[in-house]
Amino acid sequence: MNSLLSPSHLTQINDLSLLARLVARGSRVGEHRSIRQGRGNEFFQYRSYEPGEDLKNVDWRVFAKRDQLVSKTYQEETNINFLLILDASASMSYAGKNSSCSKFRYAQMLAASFAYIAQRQGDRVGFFGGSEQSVKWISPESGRAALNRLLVEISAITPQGLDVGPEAWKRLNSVIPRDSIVVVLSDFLDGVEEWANRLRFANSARYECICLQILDADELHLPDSKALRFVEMEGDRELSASPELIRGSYSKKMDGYCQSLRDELSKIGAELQVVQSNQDLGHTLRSFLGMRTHSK
Amino acid sequence: MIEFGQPLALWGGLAVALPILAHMAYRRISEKYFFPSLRFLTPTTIPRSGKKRPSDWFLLLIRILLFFCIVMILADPYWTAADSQIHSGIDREKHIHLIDCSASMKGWGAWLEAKREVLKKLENKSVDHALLAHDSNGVRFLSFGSSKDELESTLSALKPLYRKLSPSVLFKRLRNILEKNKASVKVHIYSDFQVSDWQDVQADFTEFGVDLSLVPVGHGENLWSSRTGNRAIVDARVVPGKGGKARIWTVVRNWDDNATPVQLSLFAGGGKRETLNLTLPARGTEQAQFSLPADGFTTATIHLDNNDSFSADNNRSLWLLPPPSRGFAFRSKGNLDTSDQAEKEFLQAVMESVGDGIWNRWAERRSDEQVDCLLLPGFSDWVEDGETMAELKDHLQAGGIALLTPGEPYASMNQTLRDSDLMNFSFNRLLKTEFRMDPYRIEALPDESPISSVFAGDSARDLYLTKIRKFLLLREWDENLECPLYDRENRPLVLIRNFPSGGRLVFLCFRLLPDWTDLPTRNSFLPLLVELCGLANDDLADHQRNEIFCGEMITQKGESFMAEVPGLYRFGDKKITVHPLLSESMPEVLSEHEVFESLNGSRSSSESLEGEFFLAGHTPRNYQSLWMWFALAAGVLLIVETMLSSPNNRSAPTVKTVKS
Repeated sequence: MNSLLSPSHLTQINDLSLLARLVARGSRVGEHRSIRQGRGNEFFQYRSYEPGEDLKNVDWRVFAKRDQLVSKTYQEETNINFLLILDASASMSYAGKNSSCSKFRYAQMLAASFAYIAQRQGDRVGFFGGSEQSVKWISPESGRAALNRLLVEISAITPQGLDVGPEAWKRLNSVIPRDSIVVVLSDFLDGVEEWANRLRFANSARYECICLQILDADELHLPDSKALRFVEMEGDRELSASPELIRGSYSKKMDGYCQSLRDELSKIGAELQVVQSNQDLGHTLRSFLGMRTHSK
Repeated sequence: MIEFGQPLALWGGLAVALPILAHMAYRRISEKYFFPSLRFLTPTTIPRSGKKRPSDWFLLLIRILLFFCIVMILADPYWTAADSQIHSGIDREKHIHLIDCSASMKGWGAWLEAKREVLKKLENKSVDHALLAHDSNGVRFLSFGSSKDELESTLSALKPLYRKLSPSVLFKRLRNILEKNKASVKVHIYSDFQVSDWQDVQADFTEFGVDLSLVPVGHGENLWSSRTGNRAIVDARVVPGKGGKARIWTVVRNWDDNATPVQLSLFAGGGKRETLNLTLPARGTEQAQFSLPADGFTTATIHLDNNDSFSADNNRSLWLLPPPSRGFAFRSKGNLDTSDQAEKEFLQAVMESVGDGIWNRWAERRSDEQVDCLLLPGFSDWVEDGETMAELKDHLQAGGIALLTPGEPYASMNQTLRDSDLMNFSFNRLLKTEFRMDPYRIEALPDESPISSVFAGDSARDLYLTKIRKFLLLREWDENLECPLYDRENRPLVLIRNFPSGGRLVFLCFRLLPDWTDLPTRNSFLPLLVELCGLANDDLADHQRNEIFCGEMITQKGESFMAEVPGLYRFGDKKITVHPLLSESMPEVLSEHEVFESLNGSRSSSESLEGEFFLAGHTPRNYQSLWMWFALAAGVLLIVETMLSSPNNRSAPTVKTVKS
């Protein structure tokens, strides 16, 4: 594992574009599929002219200057839409005692990396996310400029309040373009049925839905303390408990929830993977690609 | 040595136990911990914390010290060097015992209580005592350094007087004493703080840093509240009655809130003559009348049989015989003609009619006796013969009254008056009316005239209808002469000269004879003469009656009589009645707040003795307040406590929010 891709290092990089390139290249992901070069709109690179090749691709200006035949290659656009869904509710701002960054920051870095990789592959990248107070929707677009715009939007989001309301989810279901790969980054703590309802579009064969449940280590095992007065981050409920006493039952319930969530989402065609916010980012990306290959 | 203004606040020191108890009890976790979801959490009983860390013991110490400082602030501590000096024998603390000896201290057990309190304080041998009080000769001050025997014997010789004694006199003397004493002095004031004695007191000893201590006495159980239980004879008069009897009219007052039955007795000739049973209304007065033969007894005493709280006002003595009549005398030329004789006889009848004939009488005196009014009808140069002029001058200088009418020859009369420097005026001639039907008449009196209030309505009309047929027409007169009466053409009819001694010389510009004027035959004449000559002077009547109150003085022929005790006295030829002061009978006392106001202070601290209080702003110079130091320490401790007790990671983890 490349330690440079651990969240503790990456969280110090504010520029999501740089961060995404670093993660993608460091983890050597994105190379599983070469970029389709051909009749695209966006210039990709020059290469030596191969005899028999269509002369339309020859750059005659370069030939005039260098007396050498050089072909221009273009990045061919795919028909795949890559849609990132990012949960920016208050619970995502949690950072446990042993975590170097919050769940949201981790999801933010993941989203940027995904967007970068997808753009490199010629996919159109879109974004949906935010919280109840502020919902952002960027329809999938290709190109570097679209990527940069999307990264700026992602970096501007601050986790707060409740999750995106049902109306916004309903609208999302109606605007998701066909042939979309949807990656959902959330802690998925709003309830199994709630999420199954939100992601019901995954039932369609046109969509591929991958859910990454980002949880802090303390959420899985509770923090180390004799007694705490817990206050819910997305509400005002309070509860006093001793983590030492309830750790076993808590972990059991948490595991049960994650399992039932996984089962329920799989019923609608979505795949769930639990990701800890202190986990190496490269490892997470590779896991994601493995999931995708597996799902394909 | 630390002393406390509010020692009772030290009981608040028990509050130090609070932080100890709090620390002895196991603390519960109270820090909030923000968590994404409580869905899978189960509430449990919070286990109590285990062993305390050393930092907790430090926190406990800080909190105990903080409570200690707060208690000390409330107890108003101050440091005094006085006690250390006392114990080292360098300079003893000085106490002045200021004792109120006014008449009101005779009642309600105030005097005995005051003496008891003073004696109790004199037992403190570590203090240098001094006494300041009134006695019959004035202010008595037994200075510092006096032995205890001296102090006690002086105290036993003191007694409350019957006078109204203002504490201001004592405070004035106290001020002189304090100016001479550089050391800090504590002043104990023993008084009933009766309202009439204290209501006009205004004193300020702030500049001396004196410690004043008020010791209310005679207040009973209810300190600083009005007392009850006093009835008093507030007035008694003797008036001539019918059948050769004298009526004694008495007024009795009740200061209580309840109607009270009393018995009023009249003593005369060595025995009880009459007894009346009265029921005095609540906070009201009741009148009673006794009757005695007017010439049977010389004096009488009315006694209120009542065991009330203030007995000094339960007796009232009276002279029953009327005072001697006031005298008048004639001085005239040797050979009186018919008109002179007629005028003299007329004036004699007039003077004998001036008083009431019984209690306020005027009688003619022989030539060698002293008189109040000297009459000189037909005044002219004949007074130069013999001693008449000298007698007239002496009489006026002694405050007597003299009445002159003009006598022939008028020019000599005018010259005699001018030469003797009695009256300086000039006249043109004797003005006579041509016709009997056309007399001169008196001009209406101006509003500012001193006699205008006497003549109004019918009496004024009678005066203005007076016919004057002849009078001396004056031309000029000195400014020191007063003209109270004019004719309708604004010509003076009467001249008056008032002397600084109180003497009054009245000159009529006309004679009191039928061919000069019809004034003597008119109803307005007698009051006019009384007013012009000042014969109805109330001061003169009172002086004649010789009734005075305790503390007042009468002077006669260079000798003086000081009224010390109520009763009946003879002073020269005068019969004097001395009454007790009614203001001293009032049971009302000033409130504590009012006394403090009058002494320019406000109560700041309580005193260990019951009913004794200190004044704010009078902190002795050797006393250093420690309030500020404890307040400063409490502030520092509070900051340290806040820093130590603020939530941190050692007590409970808190959520870390990392900005995305």
